[in-house]
Amino acid sequence: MAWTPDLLRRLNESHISFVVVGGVAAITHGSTRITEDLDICASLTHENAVRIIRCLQEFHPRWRMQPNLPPVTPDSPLLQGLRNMYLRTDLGQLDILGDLPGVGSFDDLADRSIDVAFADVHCRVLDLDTLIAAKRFAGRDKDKPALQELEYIRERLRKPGA
Amino acid sequence: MAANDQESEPPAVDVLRTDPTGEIDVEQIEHNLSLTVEQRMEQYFLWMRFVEIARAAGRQYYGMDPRPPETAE
Repeated sequence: MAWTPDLLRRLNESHISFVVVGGVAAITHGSTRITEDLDICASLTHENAVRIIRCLQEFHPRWRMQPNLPPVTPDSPLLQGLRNMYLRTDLGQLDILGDLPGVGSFDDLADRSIDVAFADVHCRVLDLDTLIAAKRFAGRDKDKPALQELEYIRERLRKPGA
Repeated sequence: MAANDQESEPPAVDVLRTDPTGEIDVEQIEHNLSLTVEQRMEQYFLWMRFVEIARAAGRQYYGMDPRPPETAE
């Protein structure tokens, strides 16, 4: 049965560079809050958007915000000029952000991420300081408890012997 | 004419559809409501398996469980 790690593995195998952000990054850093979507940040140039969709073809990606449109294919004209790519696939929801508001574009995240292994799948994950900065910038009510928790975790990790 | 211009606009695929507060992902809710209870539970349990993998990845990276001690099992 295919599931989320297979989606990450497929992106890696296709040499798509990305950084895991959002709720999954928060869980990796110790958040107890559960969100049921996978958010990543990646370059969304037309060329890269085509590569992403090509590598996800077997998982039948669809435009999440336009569910009545046919599945997304690499020749879709809608892959031009995307700011974000909100997809629903056979393996679940995948939100691909072209940049992180208040932090920067994907290119700015290379040295603001850590390398972790989701089982046998190695991925870059947004580092804790940058995740906190992104959530603080977003300023949404729903982020406030998560932000408070992440700041608590950061303080705890800074304590000697943590 | 205006209506024709509007019809020729490509559909917005890269803008999140939210409620007026901007806090709720309306599409995500609609999708969940389109599932049966059994499908929702299956989706939830699959996701929780992935959450455990993400937590294990965090433990491996930090060399400890980074969760607040009162919440860690």
